[in-house]
Amino acid sequence: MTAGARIGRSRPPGDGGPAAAGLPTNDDAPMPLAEGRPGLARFAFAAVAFVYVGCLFVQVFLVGLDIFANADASIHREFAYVYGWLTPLLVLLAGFAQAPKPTRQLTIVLVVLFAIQIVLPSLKDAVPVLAALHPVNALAIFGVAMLIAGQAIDLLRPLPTEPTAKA
Amino acid sequence: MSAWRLTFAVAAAAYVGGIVIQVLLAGAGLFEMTDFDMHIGLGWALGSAPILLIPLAIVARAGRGTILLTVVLTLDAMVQPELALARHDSPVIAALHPVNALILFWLALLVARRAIMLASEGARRSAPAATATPGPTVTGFH
Repeated sequence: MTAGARIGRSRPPGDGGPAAAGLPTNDDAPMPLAEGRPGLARFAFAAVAFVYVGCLFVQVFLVGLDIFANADASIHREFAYVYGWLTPLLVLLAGFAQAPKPTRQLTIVLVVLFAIQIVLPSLKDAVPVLAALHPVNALAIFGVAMLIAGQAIDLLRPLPTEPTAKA
Repeated sequence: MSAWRLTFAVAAAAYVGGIVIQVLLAGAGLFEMTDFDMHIGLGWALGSAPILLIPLAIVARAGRGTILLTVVLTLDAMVQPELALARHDSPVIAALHPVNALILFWLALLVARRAIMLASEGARRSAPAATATPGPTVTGFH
């Protein structure tokens, strides 16, 4: 089962669907796109989600350079502020793209995880155990970002044909 | 058969847990809570552990895709400690060690998800059979 099948897909307005057929509706399904709208927001959502995942790879590579090649640690820190603004942007784009509720919730979770991520290293002296969770939280951010990217791609795919209800 | 699938699912999920612990140990080392000895020790174990997942995937009849994914996970896990060892000869290659950790984590998640779905699918199939057995005379009316 694809993520798209799990989260549901939008359908053009007025083509029936489960509600019209008297079948149970999926509250998690994305809202249908307005007539004539090219889905630019969905394309932007997918593009930004993938750029975000790419930035995470770069960010982790910068950590590797710091540890193994004695690069300046501030590059890693500064880069977080370079791509960090993409996190709230994903929340906005998920809304504009009329993404299903679980996807929109994931973007909010990403904002929360990112905010925690920024704070964790500063706890190094006060609560070192929490600071040690910085790379673990990075895994969580990566996992959530990958899920969002996958679901954003699913939003770009054409709709599956719905079975028509018999009268 | 379902016991093998359950074992495969548990082992795959445990491997994901191992990666999370490994990353926590890396964090503990980076933030000077401990040294890197535990991270290095567990790293060698995690580097070879997925080899055990391959026969489990085969006996659990996980399907070609999942078996192939498990092989890729195993190969990637083997590369991971070698990347860290390259720190003296090629630090830039060694810097890929945490990047590969992300890939390894994602592959392990995929394998675990497939293994859990496989185990739950087997449980679902056996559940109706178990409930149907007490009433053979009832089913005979249909």
